[in-house]
Amino acid sequence: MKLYTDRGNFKSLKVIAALEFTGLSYSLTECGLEERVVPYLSGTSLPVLEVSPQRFLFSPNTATRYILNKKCDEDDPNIDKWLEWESVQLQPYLVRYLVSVLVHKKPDTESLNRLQQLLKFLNAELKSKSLTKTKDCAADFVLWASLFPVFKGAAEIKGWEGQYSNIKSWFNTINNLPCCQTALDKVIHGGDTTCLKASLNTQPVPLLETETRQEEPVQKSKPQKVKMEKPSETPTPEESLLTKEASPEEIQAAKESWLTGKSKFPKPRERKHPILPKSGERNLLITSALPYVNNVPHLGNIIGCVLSADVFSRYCRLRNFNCLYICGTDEYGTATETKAIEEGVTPREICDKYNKIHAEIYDWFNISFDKFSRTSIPEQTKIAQDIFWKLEKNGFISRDSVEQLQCQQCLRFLADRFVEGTCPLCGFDDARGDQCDGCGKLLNAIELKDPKCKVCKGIPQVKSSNHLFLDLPKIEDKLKAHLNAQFDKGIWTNNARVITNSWIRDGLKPRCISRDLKWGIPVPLEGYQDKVFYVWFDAPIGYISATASYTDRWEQWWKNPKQVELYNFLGKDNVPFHSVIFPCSLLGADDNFTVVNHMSATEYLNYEDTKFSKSRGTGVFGHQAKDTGIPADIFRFYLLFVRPESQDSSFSWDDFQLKNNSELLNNLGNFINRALMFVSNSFGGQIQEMTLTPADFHLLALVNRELASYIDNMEQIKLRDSIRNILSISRLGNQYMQANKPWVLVKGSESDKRRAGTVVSLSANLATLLSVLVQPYMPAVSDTIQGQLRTPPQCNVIYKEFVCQLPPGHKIGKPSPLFEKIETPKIQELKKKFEGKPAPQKNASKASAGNPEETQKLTDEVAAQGNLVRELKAKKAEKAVVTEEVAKLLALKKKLADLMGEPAPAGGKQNSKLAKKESKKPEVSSSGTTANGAVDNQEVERLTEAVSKQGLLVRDLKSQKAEKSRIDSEVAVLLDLKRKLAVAQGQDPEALTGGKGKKGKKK
Amino acid sequence: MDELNSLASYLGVSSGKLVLDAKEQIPVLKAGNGLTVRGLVSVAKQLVRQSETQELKGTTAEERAAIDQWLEYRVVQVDRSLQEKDVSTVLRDTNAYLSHHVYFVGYQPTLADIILYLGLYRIFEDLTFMEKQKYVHVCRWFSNMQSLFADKMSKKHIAFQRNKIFSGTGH
Repeated sequence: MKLYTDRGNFKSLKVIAALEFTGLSYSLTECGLEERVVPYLSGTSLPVLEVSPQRFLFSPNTATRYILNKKCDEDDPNIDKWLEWESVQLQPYLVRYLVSVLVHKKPDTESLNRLQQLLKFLNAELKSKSLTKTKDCAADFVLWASLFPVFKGAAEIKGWEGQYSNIKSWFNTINNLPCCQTALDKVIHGGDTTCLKASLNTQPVPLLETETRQEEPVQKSKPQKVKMEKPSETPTPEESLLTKEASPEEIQAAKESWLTGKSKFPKPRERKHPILPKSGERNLLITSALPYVNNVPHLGNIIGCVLSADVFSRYCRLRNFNCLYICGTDEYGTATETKAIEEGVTPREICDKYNKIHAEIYDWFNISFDKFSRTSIPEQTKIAQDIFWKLEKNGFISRDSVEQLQCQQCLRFLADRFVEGTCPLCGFDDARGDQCDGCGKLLNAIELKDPKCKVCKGIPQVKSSNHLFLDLPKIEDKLKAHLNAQFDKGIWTNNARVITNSWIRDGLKPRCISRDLKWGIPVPLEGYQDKVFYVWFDAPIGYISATASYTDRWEQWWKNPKQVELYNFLGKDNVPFHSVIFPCSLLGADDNFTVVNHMSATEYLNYEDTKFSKSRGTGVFGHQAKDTGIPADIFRFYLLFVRPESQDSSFSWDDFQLKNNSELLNNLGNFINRALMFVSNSFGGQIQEMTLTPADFHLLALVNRELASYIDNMEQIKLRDSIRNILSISRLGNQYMQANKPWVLVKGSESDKRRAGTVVSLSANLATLLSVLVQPYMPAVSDTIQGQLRTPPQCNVIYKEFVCQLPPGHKIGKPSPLFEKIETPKIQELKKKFEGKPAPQKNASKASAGNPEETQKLTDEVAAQGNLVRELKAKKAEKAVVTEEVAKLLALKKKLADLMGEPAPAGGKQNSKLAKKESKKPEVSSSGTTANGAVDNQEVERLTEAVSKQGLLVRDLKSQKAEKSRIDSEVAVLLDLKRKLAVAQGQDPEALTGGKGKKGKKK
Repeated sequence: MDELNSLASYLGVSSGKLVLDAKEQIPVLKAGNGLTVRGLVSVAKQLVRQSETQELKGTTAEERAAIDQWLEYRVVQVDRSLQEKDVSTVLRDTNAYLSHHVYFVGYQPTLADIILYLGLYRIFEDLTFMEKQKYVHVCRWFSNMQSLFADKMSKKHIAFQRNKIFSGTGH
């Protein structure tokens, strides 16, 4: 059996006593105060007895009884009764009383009264000197353990021995049992019950009885009082921070570090290049996944690795660790080569262009690389080939021939993504070489039916080509040994572990590391010299080459696993390359390489509720962030606030606005600005003498608690959580100001004024601390705060305790607001700007949505052709000619109709104009074409001409914007002519005029 | 009190000596031989002892302990959860537990199921269908229990939906 308990939990007494009494073997596991052991209970509930694996008894009373029954089975109703009495009646008041005495140092008389009543009852029941007929039963241990803290030590109810003599003799008998003494030794060392405090403060307080009691007339006044007190028991979150308890030890520690901590405060480390590992120090090598060069990174890419690694490395520098942060662009491979062909330049030029774009973006985001390199440098070739040769020498390179598609027209082997065809599994006709979008299955390019080259649409042929393979199965054991050790002691995000484990579990296979390309690192092996290395073989080597381009002593970092810790930051899609393939290359090379120790992989960041998409223009891309006019630090803050740490998260403008306005502006900015304005306006910008009260030290203790949690979260690379610690500290600060009201004090007596001086000066010191903590997240804001405070440069270290950095007499600078409110119209504008085009739909509507120019062009052509036909007719041109032109006109119209998508939507000006033409033209042309078969050919002919003549006249008048009366009269003539024509053709003239009438209205 | 009377009639035992302690509002059973049992759980257990259905107590020591702790959970947790936050903790925790268990203890209904069914009744009466969908496991259990006990203990049936009627709540 296994007992889980936190330190100093008095409820463990009974369980341990029972375990000792029976002599059963058990193990004791000490947990953190708030640790959850039972998977299905959402809150903490300790102690817990694990009876058999995953079977828990979370009720200590039940556990005690269960243990004792192991030795001597009973089913005694009296024991039921006493255990129920203890849990239902005694516990709620007992715990409340203990909390009030040991934690709050203010005995709660209400609970004490209740306890006294309960003890009186127990005393009466103990007339027979024992609780039940069974000796040393569960009821004895349970009650003994509960009563011990109120009978002995700091929370003793004075005079209980005299009042409750029956209890006294029973209690002493039990208390003297050796098993109870052993239990006491383990839980309450030396009989000092103050050690129960932390546990009492954390474990849930048993709920009180329900209203049924309130109906009792006798009790009426008391429960009401209980009810009145309730709000203070569950305070609103705004109130809760300052009223949180701090233990005397915490307060003492905070006091000491405030008064004397400055002497222990370390000096900031100078960042002097080149940074090299030093023995006896923490040497951290931090890498961010290399962004691929042919794209502009979006905000998701930025938070995924570059920005996360930046925050962590800035934190490490502030902690005085010896750390090096490197990154660069990944440049080799098919994608670059293709892009270069598209743009008609060399791959090198493409890389130069995009490397610059990347560097500029990261510069704007204030990413402080020690080196931002690129993979297309000579060092890369040298190191990659060197690693290859070592792998070859150690027998980890195998050879095999591979069937590949080669395009006869482009004269090159096609990478998977450059082949399209029909899916062999589901018959989907637009499958890609690596995956079918129809059924989602992964494919091999040569399996595709009817493959086509994506670039030239030519039909590629299957050719075989010899390739080199990294023999992963042979290195697997080394890899496993390394990973198992690192999983134990390193920081690995859950997704990194899971993805890595699933790769290894599925079995490693040899992996092809050569490609038939030009743009890459040449394979140096004879017979393969026309090939280059696969981009994923060389990309991670970019970390090494970047270091090599930074310092010629790069081997001190990369061949030094004993002294260097390697941290990889990346998106989850890159995990296997960093946790399996690259480590295998390094371990296989067997040259004492530094191999990954920690891996922080992020999930994906979505944009609003969709994905970032370059082609659709959805989402904010690196270079556009600058154009929003919002400072980089605000982007940094928000991206880190929603960092997709354990699950996908999304960038939302509304939330962005909310976080800026509520957290930065109203919380952090407000506190710092308020504190500084007070120092500046009321005390001439001078820090005052600070005489701290116990309440102030209490604040310091709470700040220290947040600070410790900040450091802890950072060490675990929980970057989101550390932000919350910062915000909690400034929230504490705000509440501190609110509680002390320096604006009132400053107008009061001399001593009030001194108190105001203390409050604002302490707040200014708190602002100094915040300026340091905020630095990894918002470096520019940190600079601004420090400029306003004129902080000494020595304060830029994150130390485990809050110390006074601004001594009395220190002059601060001029305060000004740190953040700007982001207004809703601005957010609306940005939302619209970056929402992008809707996802493209297939078929006709695509063209109409995407191509207004085309529509306009066709409309013009139709109009011109229409005029031509009309003129020809008016000039009585040859019938054959007219018919031909009419045919052309009809073809154009059909094309236009197709382009518009059938029922041309009315509403837009252009559309209604078109609709008008549409309905009008056929009349003209039909009158011409059907004329042949009409009753009176000549009459029809004559009328048709007259109609078209008159029509032209009307149109001309309209286009010249002639007087309305004139136009109307000519229109009337036209209508009359048309009616006559219709009659001549044997049609219903009313139908026509009806149509006309509508049109007239529309106009 | 009503609950214990229903339980007694379900078990086919007499609850004749059952009274309510007026001051403390605690049920008290005079069980004969000078034995007086106080408290809901203790009385319920005593009623089972007097009945023919011993299997409700559990058959092994482990089962009996597990039943005991859920009975205690009923009186200290369920009955005292009046605020919304406490009620939702109860629902969340029992729901999590029952996602892997058919009954609270073992493979057949026990006293723990009966007492928790009776205790949770008041909470389930107030649940919306949306909440019922959220706590699907404990609802499945409750629905199962009411088909076993409701009629015999003259409790009204509470309606549960059979299908998911609300689409996913998250993103």
